[in-house]
Amino acid sequence: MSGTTVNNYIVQAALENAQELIDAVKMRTIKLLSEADVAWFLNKIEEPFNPNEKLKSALRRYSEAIDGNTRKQEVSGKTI
Amino acid sequence: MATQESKKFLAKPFDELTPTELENRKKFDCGEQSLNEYIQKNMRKHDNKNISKSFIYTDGNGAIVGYYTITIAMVDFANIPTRISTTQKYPTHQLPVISLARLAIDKKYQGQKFGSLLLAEVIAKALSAVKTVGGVCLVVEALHERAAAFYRAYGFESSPSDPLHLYLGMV
Repeated sequence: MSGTTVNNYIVQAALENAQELIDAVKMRTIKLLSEADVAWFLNKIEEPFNPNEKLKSALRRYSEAIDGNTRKQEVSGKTI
Repeated sequence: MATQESKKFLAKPFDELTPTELENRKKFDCGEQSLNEYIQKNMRKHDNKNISKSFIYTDGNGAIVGYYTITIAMVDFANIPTRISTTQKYPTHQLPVISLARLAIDKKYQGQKFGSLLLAEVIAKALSAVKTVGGVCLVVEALHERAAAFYRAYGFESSPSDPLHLYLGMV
């Protein structure tokens, strides 16, 4: 933004603010596009959390990583 | 208590980034311009105002491995004609969901399963969020098919008319 006129600066600032607002709003409303989508969605939200094998293994590795973190912190806590 | 709690997660809240980590946001490159710009620009504003919350996974030496951003979103079907049975069941045309707004891993750390670790953390948090604040499922709006395929592999399903909108049941 260096070397710009005051006008350019104002336009630039306004654009950035507008973009921020667009980002924030876009992130928050998800429009369904057809009746088929609505039927599918309303069915989907009845589904229980039922992780597939890949997700189960990711969740397992995640718990191990968290446990590892906690242990490391405990160990370093004792050392200190 | 609060710090104890945050140690249970891999990624740390935006406001706990060190000055070095904040500086290193400029070097963050996941290969997607919009996701690089987000961590450098709007993430702080959104996070400070609780518009969305971002969590950053660092290597402990100042480098940023990846991040994710979560928010509450609404799935809106007000403009779609629906059958009477549906409207009786859900007397509203908007339902709240947890939205994984962004997930990014720096190129240097891609292909090392950090993406799936952070996704697992997001899902763990979402499962707890739906029990505390509500939310009928977890939604991701993928940037492109390659990203969508990543989520599908973990059990997310695309809506019939939009392959880039992916949903995971949370009941």
